[in-house]
Amino acid sequence: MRRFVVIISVLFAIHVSGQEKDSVLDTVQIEEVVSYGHLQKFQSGAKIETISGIGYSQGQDGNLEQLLSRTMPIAFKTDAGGLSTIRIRGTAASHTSVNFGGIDLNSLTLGQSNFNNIPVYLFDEIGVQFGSASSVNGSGSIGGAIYLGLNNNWTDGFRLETRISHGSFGEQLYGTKIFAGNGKFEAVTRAYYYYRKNDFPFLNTTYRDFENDIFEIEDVQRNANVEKYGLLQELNYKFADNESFTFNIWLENDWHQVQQNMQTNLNNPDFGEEYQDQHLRIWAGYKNRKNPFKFEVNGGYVFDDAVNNGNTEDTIRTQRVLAEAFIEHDFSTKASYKVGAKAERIFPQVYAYSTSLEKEDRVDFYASYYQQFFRTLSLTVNLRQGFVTDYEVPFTPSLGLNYLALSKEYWILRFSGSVARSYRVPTFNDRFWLPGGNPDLAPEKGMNYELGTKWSYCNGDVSGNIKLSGFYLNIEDWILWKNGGAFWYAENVQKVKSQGIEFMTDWQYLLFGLKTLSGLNYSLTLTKRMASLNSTNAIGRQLEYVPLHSGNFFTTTYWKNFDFTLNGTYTGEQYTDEEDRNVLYPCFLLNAVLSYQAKLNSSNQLQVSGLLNNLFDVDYQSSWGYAMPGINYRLSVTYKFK
Amino acid sequence: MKNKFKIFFLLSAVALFFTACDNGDDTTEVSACFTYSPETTLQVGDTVYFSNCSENAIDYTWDFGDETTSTEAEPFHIYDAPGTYDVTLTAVNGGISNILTKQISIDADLAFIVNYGSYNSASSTISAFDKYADEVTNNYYEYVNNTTLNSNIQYAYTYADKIYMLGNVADQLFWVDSKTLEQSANGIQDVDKPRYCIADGNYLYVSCWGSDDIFYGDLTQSYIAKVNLETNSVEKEITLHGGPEGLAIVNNKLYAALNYMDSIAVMDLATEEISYIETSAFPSYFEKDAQGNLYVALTRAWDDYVTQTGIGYLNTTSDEIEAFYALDGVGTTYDNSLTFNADQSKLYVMSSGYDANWNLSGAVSAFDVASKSFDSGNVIEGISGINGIQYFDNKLFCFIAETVTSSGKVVSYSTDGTKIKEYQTGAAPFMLLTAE
Repeated sequence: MRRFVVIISVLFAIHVSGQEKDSVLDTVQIEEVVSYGHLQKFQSGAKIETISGIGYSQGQDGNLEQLLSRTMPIAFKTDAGGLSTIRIRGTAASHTSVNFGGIDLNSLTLGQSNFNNIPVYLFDEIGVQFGSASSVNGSGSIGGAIYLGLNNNWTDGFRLETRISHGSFGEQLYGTKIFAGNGKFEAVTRAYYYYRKNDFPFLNTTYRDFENDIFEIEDVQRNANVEKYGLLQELNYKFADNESFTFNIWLENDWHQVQQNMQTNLNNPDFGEEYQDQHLRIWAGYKNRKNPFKFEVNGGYVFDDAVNNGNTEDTIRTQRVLAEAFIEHDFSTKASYKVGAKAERIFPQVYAYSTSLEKEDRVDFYASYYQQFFRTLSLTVNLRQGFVTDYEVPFTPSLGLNYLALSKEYWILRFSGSVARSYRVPTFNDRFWLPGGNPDLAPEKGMNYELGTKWSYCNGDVSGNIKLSGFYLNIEDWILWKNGGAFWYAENVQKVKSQGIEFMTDWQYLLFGLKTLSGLNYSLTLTKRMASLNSTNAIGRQLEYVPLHSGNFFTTTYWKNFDFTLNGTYTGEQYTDEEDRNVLYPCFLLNAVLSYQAKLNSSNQLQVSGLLNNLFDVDYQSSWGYAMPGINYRLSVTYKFK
Repeated sequence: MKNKFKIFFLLSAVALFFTACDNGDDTTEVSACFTYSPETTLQVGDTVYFSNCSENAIDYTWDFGDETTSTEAEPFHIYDAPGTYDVTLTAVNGGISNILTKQISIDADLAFIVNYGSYNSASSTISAFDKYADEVTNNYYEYVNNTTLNSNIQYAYTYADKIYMLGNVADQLFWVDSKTLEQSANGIQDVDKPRYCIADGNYLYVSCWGSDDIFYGDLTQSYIAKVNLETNSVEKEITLHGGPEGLAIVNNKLYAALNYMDSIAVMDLATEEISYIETSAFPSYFEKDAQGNLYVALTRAWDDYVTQTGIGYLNTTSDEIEAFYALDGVGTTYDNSLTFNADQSKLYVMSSGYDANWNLSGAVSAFDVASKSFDSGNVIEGISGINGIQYFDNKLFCFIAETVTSSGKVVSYSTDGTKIKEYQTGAAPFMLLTAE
């Protein structure tokens, strides 16, 4: 019983201080996750999962899509390294915000993020919020939100990590992280370089030899190179406990050759197209949480530039200046509120927009209230109203509840629920692209209902969680581009209903005396197009690129300095169009990782890790018509000083 | 009495003998016999040749089973509706005749709807349209060939019992049987960004953009591929800057609409010398009238909001644009933005523009050839997702594709604009192929 008293108090402490670590109950470490920690307190009932620990460290060499698809019940539409877009709970890629501090990474022109261009290596952990989160994040978080987390370690001394990774098809990653500080001032430098030639073999089914009756051929992917590098510099100063200044600057250069589909790869082997993204993201803030009146002042700047196929004349560039400030008042031990504002000035510079479009201002005012009742029930209310130049934004409230239903000697049972309204301001392309953009488009609107339960168990060497959540999400005025004859144009076209169940469980236990960590995620996602202005025969049918069933599992066993992991992902059948014509078949991909950690001395550590992806060499596609690699390996060596 | 009886019997026998000789043969020896060719894949419009192998017959009567007859010994016949017909040959020799009936099966002469599909994710599909049953069968190419098309069809063209298709993902020219859609030969890959084609004798001329660089302003890579249809190879690439799109051949001259320039190129097919005709806007496609002159759709670039669109009338004798008839919103979607009615008295022109609700709305206008003016008011309007028009079977067909990922549709209208019927097709239908 004593253990659970501790656990419960830890859980509440986590809740109040805004962090949550689900994986291992008795080894919870309170860390300050600057990028999104403060958001969680006022989101009772919201489903927020954190990826850290072994699963996170195994994804260090890859991109965010690879990490999330193996650790979370989330579907992606992806090719073999060029473009990957998220589909949380059946929503579109533009319905999930990707947050770095107060910056939403999603392109203001396209509305979405390429998850292949988000390197896991630069961050300390990833948070995933399932369900609508517009009331705390503003426009865009209809299906969910991703938070890129950086821990403030307040380094005292010097630490260094370098990593070299080589893999199949010319994959290379070189990374380093340098931590230097005196306990008050901290400078953290993280940098990486990634390259992949991507010349993997595959069975090309678009081959046509009518004269010899042959309709498939062994082929090799061509012109799909990927090259990326980035630098993330932190400069942090701690005036006192709970009073700090943080400064983050993230420079990112992402270049890739646009992977061609199987037809073009076969018939136009020399054909290649390039795409380059360059980003500068700065987020800095002063945080004072010493008193019941807490406040933060943050500011940022974002430069996004895209060059399509080397054509620098057709500028695709946006710049943003951001400022955010809020106060948070804990006026009793059980109640607090937060009031804040966020302002953003956007300077679009896109060749297809009118030159008269110089800037757009966006201001959000928000207020949150947190109340705890009877030590077992907490409630939060969030209200947000945005204002956009010449555009009307809906009022966005949300309400959440957390309830600790039962607390026994070895287990506790919690329930949570929330109702949240959400919206997305149409992208600049949707509104201002000439021709076809429509300034009078209505914002996309979502209504999310969430109910979840979590059962946590801890007894001796066995601990774990079982989480079950159900959701119901309605999205209206979903924007699509329609064929207008002379050109395409944007319109509020469809209404989509998404409902489903997410089951997540993770367990730590002894297997033949060996510490083992296992988990399983399953997602049942029924996402249907309920109405559309387009004539379509896919009304009431599962939406494209949303598998009805999907899931993954992972299990890691530790033995001495070794750990061995098996993880697998299952993606059910997916429609790729509204014709019921091209269907992606279900596939199961199995991966294995073997790692060895050597402590050379008190200051020096070495970690060697070998990874085999797609062990069964499954021939599959994730985006219709685009080849994906079969079995492949990656070998990485990490050296850590102190 | 006994002798009288013998004499009578003898005379009767002689009379019978001579009677038999007069008729030439006895009834069992007149034999009706016929064959026909071709024996298989007979369609409406095909000429069926009947060979007569009857014996001992002098006169013949054919009943083709469709209420038409013939008395020729070896007639040919063209059926104008599909079905199974009892063809009856009556072979006659005097008063003796013999009858033979065979069943002959005539299939519908299908028209084919080309569905462009989505450029990046899937290839095109082809639907079959049976005008007699008044129904569309989708995925017909897949059904016939047991495989999918592996490129997006930019344009298809019926010529010499074949349909030539230009695939612009795989950059290929291939051909299928024009009746059955069966593909038995591999295509050729030597056409880069093919757009349109037209045949003359043993040559097929294919307008090609050369590469995607044309989208970025490089107009120098485009050309006309001269394809030898006997060897099925590109015999020559004739450089033609400016993005040649629609083609027409008149008086041994090839007219090429340069889709990125305000001019039409005219190439002498004998000398391959090229001259240019200036136009007031970007030309896209042609329709040839009975005099051999050309109507040309004149459109504008996507970022040009000033240039007046419309149609031009090109005199192919003087090689001058004789007249320009303004019509707002003439676009460049696919080849089918102009279509003549059967007697070429009306030229239907597709256009699109924003309606009051900021929706792009398609319309069809009728150009009266006699009065050289557009009829007042649109024949059809308010079409969301218009993707092409075509006159066929005395109706006006509109191809409609609001997206490229869902099924499209074809809607038939009477020439007064009355909607007749909708047919579901594959994604992004844009043209209908008929027999030559």
